[in-house]
Amino acid sequence: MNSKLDRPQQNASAASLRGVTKSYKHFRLDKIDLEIEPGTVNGLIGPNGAGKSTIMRIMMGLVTPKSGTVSVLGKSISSREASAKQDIGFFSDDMRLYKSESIAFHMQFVRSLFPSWDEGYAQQLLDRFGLIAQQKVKGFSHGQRVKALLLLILARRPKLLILDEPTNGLDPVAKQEVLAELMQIVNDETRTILYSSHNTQDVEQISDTITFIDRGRVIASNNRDEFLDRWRRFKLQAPQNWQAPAIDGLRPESTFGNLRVMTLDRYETGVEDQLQSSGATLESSEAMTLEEIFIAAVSRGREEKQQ
Amino acid sequence: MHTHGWITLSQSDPRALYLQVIEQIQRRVAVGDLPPGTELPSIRQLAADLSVSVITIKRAYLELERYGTITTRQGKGSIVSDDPGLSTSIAERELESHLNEAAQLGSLLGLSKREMQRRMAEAYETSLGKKK
Amino acid sequence: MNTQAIQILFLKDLFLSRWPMFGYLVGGLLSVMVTCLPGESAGFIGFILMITVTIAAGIHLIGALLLGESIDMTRTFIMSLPISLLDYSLAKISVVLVAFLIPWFGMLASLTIITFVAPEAKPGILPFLVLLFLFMLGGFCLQLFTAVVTESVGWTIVVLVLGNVTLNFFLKMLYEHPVISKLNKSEVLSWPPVVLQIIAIEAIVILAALGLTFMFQIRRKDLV
Repeated sequence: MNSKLDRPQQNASAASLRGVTKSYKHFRLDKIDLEIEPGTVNGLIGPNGAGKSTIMRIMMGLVTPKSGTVSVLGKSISSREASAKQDIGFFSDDMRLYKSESIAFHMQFVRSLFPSWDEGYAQQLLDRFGLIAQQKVKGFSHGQRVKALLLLILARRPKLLILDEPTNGLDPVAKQEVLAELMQIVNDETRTILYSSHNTQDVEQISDTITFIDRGRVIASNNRDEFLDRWRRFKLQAPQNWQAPAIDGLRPESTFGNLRVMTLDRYETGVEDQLQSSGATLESSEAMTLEEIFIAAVSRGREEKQQ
Repeated sequence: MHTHGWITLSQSDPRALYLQVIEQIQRRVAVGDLPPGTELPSIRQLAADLSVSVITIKRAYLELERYGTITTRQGKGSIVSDDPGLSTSIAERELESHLNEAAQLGSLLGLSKREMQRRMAEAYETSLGKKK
Repeated sequence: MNTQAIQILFLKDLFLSRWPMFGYLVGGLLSVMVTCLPGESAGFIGFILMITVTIAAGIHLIGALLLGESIDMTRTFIMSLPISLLDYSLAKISVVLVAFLIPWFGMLASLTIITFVAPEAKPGILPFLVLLFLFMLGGFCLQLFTAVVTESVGWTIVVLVLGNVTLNFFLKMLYEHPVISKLNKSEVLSWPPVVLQIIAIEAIVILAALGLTFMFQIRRKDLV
């Protein structure tokens, strides 16, 4: 791999996956296309087992895809090249530190591999996260372990952070500490965050872009506010033989007697009129929360796959 | 921390977060805590301190600029405008949004324009009555 | 290949295994001393102790440095650092080997010295000791290979047990061999051709096991 030819360009993606596939015995990643813009916070949301971890590991070169190209910070990624990882901070829920050693040992170890290590900031983080440098990892609670791992990442100020469910299982206080610290990165427009979760609350507040993943496929990817603006739920009263108007992206969600609930993924003003003139009575037209959008998008994606 | 000095956000529907930001900035300006010419924090700085996405703050600043509450200078960030009538513009905006909501509800209920006007007049009379 | 990274990883693992390494070195040297104690059974007991220490050192170090990383999931942490698979493999395989060689060599070296220095010792026994220690090193390399390929404690122990059983047969063969059994009583140090042949076989096994281990490791597609 000749990485000397990979010159990072202005406004190049922070990370880009094209046509990436991977096959395991009971799971497949199916032609993943993902583009991460620099200077953004990107949420990757998907149910457990959807493939978020696999995608992130492929981005780190820890897993080799069957096909497709992966480029991170302008460089091709592979297990043979280590240089791209110099500017990336990777966190995974299943990462562990050496139990018999202290945080200080790990700090010294990581520091020896990263010229970008900022010792002053590391000390601040020890303080802010309430960690003791001399304490051995063995007795750590889940929250302390996560914070210690994040400290080791944040102190070297990576350009790209790839975080696989970092706030999973954290108590509200720890979660706040972690999010506040992660958000400081937003101050720097050259730094980027990719953050995955199976729950939308963790991600929706801080994300600029959201991507939904389910069963190894990208279901939808958009600017967060676009999602919130374009999805809408309608409650209609309609007789049994009522036919829904042919509006692109309009799907039934549930039916209860004459009550029909429908969702639309590309809302424009005037849709309510179309529904009214189709012979149904519009009871309400409401915005959807990101969680509701996620559930609707996933169920649509699964239906499509079956067809 | 969802605070940046004089702004505190409450956890809720993220789309409404940008509205909270707008409201709180306008309130501070109206009360005089942010006199004209005061420099506002950069979009990224505010986003970082409030733990909200950059697009939320971008949207808030854009709206505030539209209302005339702030002025954005090319490459130099935003400052509070010299516009005097700010205290009224909060109320103005609130009135606007409530009227829109009322209009939508009215049309959903199938009220005619006359009926709508009648109901509006009634409500206004009642509130005048309450004021006395 | 990043020699600085390899060095850092190597030293890190050496540091992490400092207690077992030191412990087995001390244990090994003590076992050697036991062989020098007076009495009929001292030699025999010391001998068993040496073999035990060597085998224990092998499996302990493989477990702690190699299997431990996949069981304890520290490998994901390590591979998230700017380290290529090649760097990791070189550092890991060499440190496990070196950590084992320290007590191994400590025992062999001290035994060698004793055969020349101690009054009752017969120098002729040296080739026999070399054959024995190389056999144990071979067993270790096969366990190392198994651990890397299978990442399973179970299979590694199977190979260990098979190695032990084979060791017994090997020792039996050495004791019953017309040429080799005489060496143990000889005052003269000699290296008969059969000894050299066995050494050659052992060397091939060791190098092949290490080579295959390395090749397998760097061809991994999924590191975690």
